Amino acid sequence: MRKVKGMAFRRTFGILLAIGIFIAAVVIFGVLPTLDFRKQRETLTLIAQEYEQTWRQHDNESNQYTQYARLIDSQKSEFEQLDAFLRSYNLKPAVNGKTLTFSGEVSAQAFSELLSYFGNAYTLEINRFNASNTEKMPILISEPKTTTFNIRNLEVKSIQYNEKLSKR
Amino acid sequence: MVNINLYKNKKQKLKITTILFLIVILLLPVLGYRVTLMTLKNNEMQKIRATNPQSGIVLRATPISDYEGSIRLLNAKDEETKTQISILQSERRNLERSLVYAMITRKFFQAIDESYQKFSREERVFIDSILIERKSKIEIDFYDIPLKAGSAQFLFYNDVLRNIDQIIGNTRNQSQQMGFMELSALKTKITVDTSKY
Repeated sequence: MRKVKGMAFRRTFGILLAIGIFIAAVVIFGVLPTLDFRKQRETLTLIAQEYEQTWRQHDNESNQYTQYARLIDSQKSEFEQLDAFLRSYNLKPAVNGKTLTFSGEVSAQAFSELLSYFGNAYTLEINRFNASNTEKMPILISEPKTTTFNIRNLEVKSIQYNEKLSKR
Repeated sequence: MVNINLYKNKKQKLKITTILFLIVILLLPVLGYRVTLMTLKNNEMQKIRATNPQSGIVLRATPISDYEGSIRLLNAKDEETKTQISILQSERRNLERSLVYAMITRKFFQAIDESYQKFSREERVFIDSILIERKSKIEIDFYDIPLKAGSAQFLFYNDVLRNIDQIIGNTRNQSQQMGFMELSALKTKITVDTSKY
């Protein structure tokens, strides 16, 4: 009788052990990885969607920057032309990189052409320009005389863009 | 009928092979599910990559089943791209400010030139001074003299002031009428505020 009871106990223990192992295996290899996977999938989907938006924004910004860079490139000769223009009147502007400075006296003709040149410049930043007529009054009645202009401190800079940021 | 136990004296023992066999049998469905889960994970990853093509390009660097690595990589790339965007935005704003400022000076001189071309037969314009200071102002000081005796219509002045005000805005002007032989002259100063640029 005791032997039979012992056998029954061992059998029950064996079944319970098996069920325990099965449940543990289901939890460890089934439930936990599934929950983990669902969480990771949601996180990855969200971050992927966010990255898509970020990338589109980056693309838009980059395109806009490139458009400006193209516009500047299309007018890039303006700076050299200004230098050449001043030199054509025997003036000696100082050029440092993409910045031109000049001080001196110019004829009314050169002054007028300079103003016209500024009226057609798309990529020149006039940082400083101080010019005044050397005559006190506009017309000298008795003595016809060609007036001149005194330019003090003309500083013109050519607009530059960062080539690394442009899609070119 | 009489039940005879043929193994009456057999010693009962649990063999290790039996235990292992049972464990393997029990683990099989679980391992099968694990394989299914792996396949599901790979399929989902492919779906995410296909739906988000730019992320897909970035995620090529990680194995298809590596979700944690993919999340880390994409997060890092997202942060890097956001930093690039802020640099681009700052550079773009600087470029726009420069281009707008160049446009203002261009329009300013264009307005003077156009008005002069329109009224050069009726009036004489004599520039006294021009002053440009970046982040401050553009200023022109000139005399406007109608050639017709007794005329007090300063067409150039009115036209140039209207044009500059329309195109650029932020203008101030000071003018003073004076007699000049038999003619009237207008000594005037137009100032454009460019402190924003």
